[in-house]
Amino acid sequence: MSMAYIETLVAGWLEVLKNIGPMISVILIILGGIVYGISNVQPSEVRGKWQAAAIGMVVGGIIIGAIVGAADIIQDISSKLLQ
Amino acid sequence: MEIGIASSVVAIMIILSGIAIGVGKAVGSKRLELFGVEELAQAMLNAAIIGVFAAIVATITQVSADIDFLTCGAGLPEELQCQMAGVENATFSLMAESEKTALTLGYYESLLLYFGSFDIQILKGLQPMRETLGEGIKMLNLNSTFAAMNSQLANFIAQTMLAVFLPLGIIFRSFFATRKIGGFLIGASIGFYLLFPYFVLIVPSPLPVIDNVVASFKAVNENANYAIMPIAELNDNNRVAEKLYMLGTGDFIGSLILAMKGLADANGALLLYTIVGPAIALAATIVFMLAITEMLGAHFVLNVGVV
Repeated sequence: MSMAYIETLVAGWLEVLKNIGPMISVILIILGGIVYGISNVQPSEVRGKWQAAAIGMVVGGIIIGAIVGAADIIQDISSKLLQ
Repeated sequence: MEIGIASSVVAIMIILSGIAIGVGKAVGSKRLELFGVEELAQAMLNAAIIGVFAAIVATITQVSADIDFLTCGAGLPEELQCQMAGVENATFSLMAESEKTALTLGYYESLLLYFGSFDIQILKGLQPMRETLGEGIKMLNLNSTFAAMNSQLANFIAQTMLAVFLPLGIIFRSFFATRKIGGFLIGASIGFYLLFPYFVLIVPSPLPVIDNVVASFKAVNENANYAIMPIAELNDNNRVAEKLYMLGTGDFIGSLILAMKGLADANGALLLYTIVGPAIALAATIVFMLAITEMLGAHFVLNVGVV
């Protein structure tokens, strides 16, 4: 197994993750919206829990989107930290 | 190429850490969230290390080349390789000279004076000295083998540590599951490139001692009074007796003892330089490697480990 093969393999994984990241982000945001909507038809004693879970999903989705979207920028800036 | 792989692994870890933080937040798992934060911090540090990789290699090489006692190498490992090769050659010269002396001793030991009804093997007493010399030569052979091994090891260090182990260490360090191995490889590459040769090279070189001992053996081997006589003359008791007289005139035993004491000195210096010194250097390098592994393989945020 040559280094070129490993480089191609790792680059492939990176590409897959770059595609999966935004999908997870969008799924979480949509799911968060749905759960928030459902929370409104729940009894008042559990509604808070549903809403907290929904907000967690939306915030999680936004964080994933932000970090995955800015991965290249984070790497670029970090690489200059010690220069 | 290794740096390209390391950059890709860092990018993968940034994305994975983002997913871990987000999913951790979404499912309310504090552990997963902390893992993501930890990995994001580690990925940023790794990116910074990769960014200055060329500078790290240049600095290590420069530090290695700036040591003031370098005489024949471009850097510490090259110097170690050169010094060990020199020691091996000098040891071989000493072995050649001492072997010549051992052959001469064997020759004189076997001389017989015939007197018809009886004979005398007058230099039979040289046997213990010849045996001691033989032991010294065996020891020289062992030391020479270790010098050759150290030279090969130094060559391996010079060729692979900064070119293979350091980039591999950075790649392994970039991934959370292989972080400790990465830290170990980085520590090993720096330790073996700088510390190991340095600790060996600060041990006094045996070359001056060996040169003196070679001179002592040459004084025995090249002394006309001690030169072996042609086999054809061995039947002549008078010639044999004359040779024995010449040996006494030139203080053959005194010269031999001086050379053999020198051989013990040379073996002692060689033992220190080729076996004890590298063993101590190896121990110091291992301690350094463990410390670096501990430092570079550790977690920043919390010891969350592998989720």
